[in-house]
Amino acid sequence: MTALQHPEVPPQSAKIVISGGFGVGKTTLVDTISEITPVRTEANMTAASIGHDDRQHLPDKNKTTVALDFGRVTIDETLRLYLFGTPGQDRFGFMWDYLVNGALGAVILADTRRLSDCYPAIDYYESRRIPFIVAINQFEGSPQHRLDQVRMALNIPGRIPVVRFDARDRDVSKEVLIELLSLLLR
Amino acid sequence: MSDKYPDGYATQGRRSEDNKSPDDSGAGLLRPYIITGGRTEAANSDLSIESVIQTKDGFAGLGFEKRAIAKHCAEPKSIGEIAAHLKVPLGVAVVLVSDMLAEGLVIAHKRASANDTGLIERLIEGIRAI
Repeated sequence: MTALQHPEVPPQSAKIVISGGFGVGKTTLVDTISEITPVRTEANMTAASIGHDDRQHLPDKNKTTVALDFGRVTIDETLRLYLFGTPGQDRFGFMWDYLVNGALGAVILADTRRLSDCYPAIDYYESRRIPFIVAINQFEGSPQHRLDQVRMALNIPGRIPVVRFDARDRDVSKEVLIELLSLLLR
Repeated sequence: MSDKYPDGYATQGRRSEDNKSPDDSGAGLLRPYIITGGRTEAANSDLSIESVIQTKDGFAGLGFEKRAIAKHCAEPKSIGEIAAHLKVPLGVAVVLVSDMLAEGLVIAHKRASANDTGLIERLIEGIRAI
């Protein structure tokens, strides 16, 4: 019997980012999947931006402070998956770069009532060649557009999966993450 | 005032008299950086929010924040979790952990690569299993 309580090295970590407009269900998805209560941290200033970001001298209304929700899934003793909801506002672009750096890919959430809200995220991941899928969080009472209609409206190429799910449902939320990971294997 | 810049360069906030205003309105935001010794850049730029950190040796003789990190990371934790636990901005956690790495107090694991097929398959299996 070994007395070693911990593995010699900390677990390896993988990261998936969850993006989309305000109120589209990013935090809900993180909450649904995470084994821990989603952790909320202040992610205003990154190591790279501190001191270079003149906005920190501006009054509160211009503050760059933003809460960041994230969750965790322990895959096994040596591998963990972290989920991060990116802040909705594209003016936090510098922070997106930091959060997204090293991510396996992104799930872009869409709401059929406000499809255009996810344009900035799609543009962002396309321009950086980061793998992503589009997942429609189907809210009760919102239009049930056909997936090919949504694909056309968002101008999403055929190789990128577009799926529909409910961010409150654990099983279908798991399938959304698996859809993204499967895309990486293609 | 406005005809000082007749050619239209009098853009808002670019006039010299705007520069004299003291920046003490940002004092509250700057305060967390006192615990990093005023430094804002981490020596180890590879650290990201999901980097998992674990304490290598004990935490005797450490300052308040580093001791808190060392205690918290007796079980491996990500930088994001450390920032939330200490209630400090992410940037501060990165600087502190970077110091601790340099001092040999903690170890960090490199993150997963999207090109690692085996790892992606493990993730898929792992998510199915939860």
